[in-house]
Amino acid sequence: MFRALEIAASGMAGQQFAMDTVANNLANVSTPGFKSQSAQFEEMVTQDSVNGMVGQGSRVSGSESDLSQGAIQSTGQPLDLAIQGNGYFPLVDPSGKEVYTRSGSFHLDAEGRIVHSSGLLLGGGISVPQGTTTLQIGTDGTVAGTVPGNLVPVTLGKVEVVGFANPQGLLAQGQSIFTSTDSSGPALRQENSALPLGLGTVNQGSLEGSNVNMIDQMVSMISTQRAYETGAKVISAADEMLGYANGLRR
Amino acid sequence: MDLSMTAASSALHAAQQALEINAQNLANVHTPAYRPQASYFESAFSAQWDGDGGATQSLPWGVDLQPGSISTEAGPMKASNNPLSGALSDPNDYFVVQTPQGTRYTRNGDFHLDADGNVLDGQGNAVMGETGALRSAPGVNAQFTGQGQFQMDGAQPLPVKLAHIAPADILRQGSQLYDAAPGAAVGEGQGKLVPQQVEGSSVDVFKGMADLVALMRWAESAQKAARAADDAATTVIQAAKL
Repeated sequence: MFRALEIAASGMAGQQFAMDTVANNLANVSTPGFKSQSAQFEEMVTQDSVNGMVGQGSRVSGSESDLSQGAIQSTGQPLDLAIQGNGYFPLVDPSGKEVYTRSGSFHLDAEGRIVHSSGLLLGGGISVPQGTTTLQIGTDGTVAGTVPGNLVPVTLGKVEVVGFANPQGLLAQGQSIFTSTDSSGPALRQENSALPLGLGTVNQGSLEGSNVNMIDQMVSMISTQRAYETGAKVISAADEMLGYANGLRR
Repeated sequence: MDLSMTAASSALHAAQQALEINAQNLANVHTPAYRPQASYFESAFSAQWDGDGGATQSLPWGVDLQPGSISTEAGPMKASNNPLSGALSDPNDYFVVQTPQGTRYTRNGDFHLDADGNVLDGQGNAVMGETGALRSAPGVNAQFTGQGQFQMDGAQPLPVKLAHIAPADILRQGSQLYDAAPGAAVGEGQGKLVPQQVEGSSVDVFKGMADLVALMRWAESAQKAARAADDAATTVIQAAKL
């Protein structure tokens, strides 16, 4: 059995996935808290009784997130929060389940609750009373505000930052929201851990930019395109070679 | 028996097999730490028998393709933002991983932690240190240091286990994992672990494309040779009719 066609096709399918990944990264070059992703390839072989290990091409084993810190961009909005570190903000979805994000674009709703740009509530149940003038959020997440009738700011609650044993295992839900999985492990909180988790600090008045590197993505796009072309050339060569075999009989 | 026809068809068959090996290498141009396979040709022989059943001489009758050795060249190193990634400076050093099938070796040093803090490779196999499988406490950051050691925040660094295996003793297992041939000497790593780098594929696209052209020409000449043999046979048949 002549496998060159299938082998080349497997490589091209992988390059197509890599191109989709690059396109998604480029589309999210200004999405707050977005983490650049890359397709991971692995070789495929099978055991053949005659020839030993024979190649079956390559496949995409998954996509990996680049979890490095994005640039902190100042916005001046008091409820724009950026995490400098490895943590995530916990949000509460309508069913009461905790979900997570690094995109710290929040606002107050009519009832004084802190709401994420996706519409989900920030975890921790912080309530900001009507008429609060200044809202200060410390690097540890402590929320303080000057409320009517009080001259000194009062503590209103704390913005939590949680971490994961394997953040690569988080499942993206869209709108920069993730849910925990068996692979990521449950959310971990610093107060429950004796060891430093490196969850980081909260920066008020700024957002974490996307960590997509435009130049890297352009280079990746070119090399993906070329690798795809290589696959196409191998397919046409395999076709030609089958033609020679057919041509033996005139 | 028409030896020239057999020789030509064996050449065409060998060219197809060589193309498969070349296609496999070219399909893995972006596979981290992939080591391409070479192919080599052997002349094949057939024996001529004398009247008493003993072989008197061997005549070449074509070529036979054998899968060749695995490339010993390391792929280019590329910077990675993964704190648990590392490339190996010695081209014959390997990381040691524990798979369900037993100990395996890999150069693809792109590792991550699982929910329990174990250091795993892309296939979920445990990565070994000198003192057992590498492990961090859940949620505690860990990285490879400049000294090539595994460092969990707030703990002593641990040496990462590296193995040194001669190229001839390496058996391909897929997913960039290798096994050592039975009886092969597996030594201590001789180079160092370069942190936050990932080794790319060592496939040479230029060589792959040049080989592709050469293989096509070779298949074409094999076809021509077969046709010439056919023409010669036709002439003989024609002569017999006269």
